[in-house]
Amino acid sequence: MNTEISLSLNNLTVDYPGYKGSGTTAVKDVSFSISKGKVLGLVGESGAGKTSIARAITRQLVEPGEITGGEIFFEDKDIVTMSQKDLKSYLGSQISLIVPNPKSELDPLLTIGRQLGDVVRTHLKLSKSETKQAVLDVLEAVQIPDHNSRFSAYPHELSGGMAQRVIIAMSLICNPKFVISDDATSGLDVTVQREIMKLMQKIIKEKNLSVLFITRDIGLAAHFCDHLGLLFRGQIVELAPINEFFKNPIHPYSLALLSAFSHSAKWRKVYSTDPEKWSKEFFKDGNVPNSLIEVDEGHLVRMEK
Amino acid sequence: MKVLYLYCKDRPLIGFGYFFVFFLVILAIFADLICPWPPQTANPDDYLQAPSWRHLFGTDETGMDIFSRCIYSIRLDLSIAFLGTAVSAIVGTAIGALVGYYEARGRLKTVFSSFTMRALDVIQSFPVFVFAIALVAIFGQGLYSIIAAIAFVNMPIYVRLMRTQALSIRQMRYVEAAYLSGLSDVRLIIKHIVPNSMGPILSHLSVNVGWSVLLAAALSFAGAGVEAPTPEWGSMIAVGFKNIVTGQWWPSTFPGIVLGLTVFSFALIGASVEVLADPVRRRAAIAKY
Amino acid sequence: MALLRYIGRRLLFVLPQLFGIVAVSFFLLKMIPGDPALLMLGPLASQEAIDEIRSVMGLDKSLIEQFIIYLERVLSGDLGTSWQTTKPVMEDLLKRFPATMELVTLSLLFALIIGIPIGILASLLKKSIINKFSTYYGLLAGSLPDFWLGLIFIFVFYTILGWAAAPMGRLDLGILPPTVVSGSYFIDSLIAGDWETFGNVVAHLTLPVLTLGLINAGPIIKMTQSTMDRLLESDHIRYARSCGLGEFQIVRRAFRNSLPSVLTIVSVLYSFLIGGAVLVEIVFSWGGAGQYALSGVLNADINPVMGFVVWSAILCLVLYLIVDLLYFAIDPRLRD
Ligand SMILES: Nc1ncnc2c1ncn2[C@@H]1O[C@H](COP(=O)(O)OP(=O)(O)O)[C@@H](O)[C@H]1O
Ligand SMILES: [Mg+2]
Repeated sequence: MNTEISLSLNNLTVDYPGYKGSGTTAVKDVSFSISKGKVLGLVGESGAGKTSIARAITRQLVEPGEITGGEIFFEDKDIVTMSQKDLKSYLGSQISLIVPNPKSELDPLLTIGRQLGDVVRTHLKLSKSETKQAVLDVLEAVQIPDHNSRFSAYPHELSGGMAQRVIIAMSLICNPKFVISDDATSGLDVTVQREIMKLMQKIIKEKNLSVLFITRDIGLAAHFCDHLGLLFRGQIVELAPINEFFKNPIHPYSLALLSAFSHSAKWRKVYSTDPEKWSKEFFKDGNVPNSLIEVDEGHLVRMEK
Repeated sequence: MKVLYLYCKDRPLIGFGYFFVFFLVILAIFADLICPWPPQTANPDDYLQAPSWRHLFGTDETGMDIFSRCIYSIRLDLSIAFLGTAVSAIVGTAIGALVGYYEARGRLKTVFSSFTMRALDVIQSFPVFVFAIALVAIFGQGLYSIIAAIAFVNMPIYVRLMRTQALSIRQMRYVEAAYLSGLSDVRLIIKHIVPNSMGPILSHLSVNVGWSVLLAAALSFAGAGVEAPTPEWGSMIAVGFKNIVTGQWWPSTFPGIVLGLTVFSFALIGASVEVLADPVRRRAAIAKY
Repeated sequence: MALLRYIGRRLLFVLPQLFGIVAVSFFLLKMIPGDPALLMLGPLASQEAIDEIRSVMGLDKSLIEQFIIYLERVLSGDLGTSWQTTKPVMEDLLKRFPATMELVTLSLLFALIIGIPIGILASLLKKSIINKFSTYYGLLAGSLPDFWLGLIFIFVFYTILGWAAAPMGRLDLGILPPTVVSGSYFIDSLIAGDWETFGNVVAHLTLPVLTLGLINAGPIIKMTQSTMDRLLESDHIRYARSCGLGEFQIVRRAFRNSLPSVLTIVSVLYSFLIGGAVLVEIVFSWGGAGQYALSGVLNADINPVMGFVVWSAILCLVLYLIVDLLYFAIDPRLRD
């Protein structure tokens, strides 16, 4: 395989089986790959299956979800079939996850210093004082003001933005190679959101991270992704390098999304499409064409052959 | 009924619970036909006989047949438990509905609510069992005192359950609407609040019946309940107490087993009602079918 | 500082409750039919004694005045005399409560020692036998009468096997109790360093503690299991998992978070057992406070009953206060 690739999904499928066989397939046949040092943006509306993909990669799906097909390669190792022990040694140290709603994701009973320290000590064999130093360093790196005293703060004492920085710190502390960011800014105020994005951008560049950047906001993705994938009802409908995506969007859903997010009338016009035409074909259940077709180099669109 | 059958099919033990209670009721009704010996007649020639075909569960120190006494006890113990539970559920639910409905609704009503809740706190800070015994001591020993004591110590649970329900239901649109349309408080409670909050109450009832059987037996065992020679499991165990150290195990063991199985069956039924009264869990439980 | 404020707020609730307890016990006393003076002094009392207690209690005065007199007496620690033991109830209770508390405390410790691991394992191993076992154990333990189980244990371990000490109190007849420090023989014999007595105390404690412990492990298992179930599915535990923390760490975090619920159920059981252990006390002739109160009830000796009721209600309040402090220690969110 190509050594340049950091993570790749091959036909990943995730199911949530329900009663009487009435389950949902949240992710269908999703394939993409992320090269080392690159950022892939994954955009989709709420319920599209973004979180399911993120959790599938870490094999932490919420009950009753399960991976029912496909492979997830991280540096030539298939995460899906990996032993629990191997998986644990990757999670947090090589692959890490940034989650939304940071306040409910932190243990309310432990100080953040302790929680960060636990992660460090699980993966790196450091002494007590080295651990503490590592924690303080990473808190400083995510620009937490007054980080010496925040070391012994409890999660409930932090604001939402601060807690998000702690989560980012948590994901960076072991110098991972690959970071998944799932809707990292969704619960925050706009100004805080911007600060967090700036911080992430800086860190990604500095550390040359490979990132799967999941968001609902295509504008946000435009800012610092190298590639962009559009997810709809568990399927990728269009996947392209970022410039290509904005210059030459093909799938009607991409067009609709772009026009909805465009700030100026001019752009709205560029992206406009005849809603009548695709809404009928496209939104009817079961009428999503089943193959991705490469229309240009690296530009895949789901359409009829 | 069908749901219940499906539910029990995979859980034979729960099925056993329903079966056993049904079986007990049948035994209690036909006790006169089934029992080989009169339950209260001492037979000095036959005292402390080990279990045999003549006396299935043996006899106690006065020669009374333990098998027959165990069966006659069903009548008394179940009646006490059912009555005690019914009284506490009815009174407790009524108070709970009022308390929940009145909370933060004008001065006097609020005072009533918070006073009742504080009173419950106080009552519940007394040790249940001794409180029950003290009640029996005050009212004098007898059937009605036991029932009253059981009803009294169980009541706070119903008040609390119902209050929580009433608090949430009274915020529903249709209740607000009924309130604004000038329906009187009492009628509103009876028409809307009580019928819509029976779920948790029902699932508690069955557990509570079992628990009341246990409490009745415990009171009798302590000597503050039903007195020998009236057939009652707790007092039978107490009578056999002296004999167990010297090796005659049967006068205490058998009534204890029947008592335990009875309470266990009610607990099983309660566990199933808890699941079946909740639509989501009910669906999950019988998903296969 | 936050701690003081927290305690202060708790006391604000506790004090009215204490008052309520005394009030309720007073009115219970008033509800008893018959001459209260006679009830307090017993059937053999002389006329002078009856007249004297009448004036002490102010039975000729109004209800409110009587209540105030009662309140003053209770506050000064005067709970009357028991005509059965002819001693002040306060003195009797101070001797007997340690026996009850020792039994209840050790039983609950035992219940915790078996209940928590089983609950945790049942929650971790969803499809295992231990999971099924714990579900039905909880129901069964709640259904067995503890006094009956005690009898069965006596029959098996004393009558047949001869392993256990005689079910006749806290010590063999020939052995003198240790010097009183706490009143608990278990603790006092340890303090005295008297190993022979200690061994005997333990021998006598074994069966009753086993009885109460096995029964009360049921609710502890159930509570541990259900909270652990909830927590292992919670956001922060899932997040900790996706940070690659080891299984031991995960379980430790989940357990720490479920401690408040476990603590709650323990406090409920504890307050129930202060009075509820009385039947097991009877079975093992334990001579505890519950047994003392019960014999008061059965012999129309009212002061021990009221004394016991007031005392155990107060003990419950103290218990809840301690539990609140433990919540405070566990959960930083309560600290501000
Ligand atoms: N715990 C669950 N149980 C059942 N279905 C679920 C569960 N979580 C998610 N789903 C289903 O999977 C789909 C995708 O959800 P999710 O991955 O959370 O989407 P997104 O993160 O894009 O909003 C949803 O439509 C939902 O129906
Ligand atoms: Mg999501």
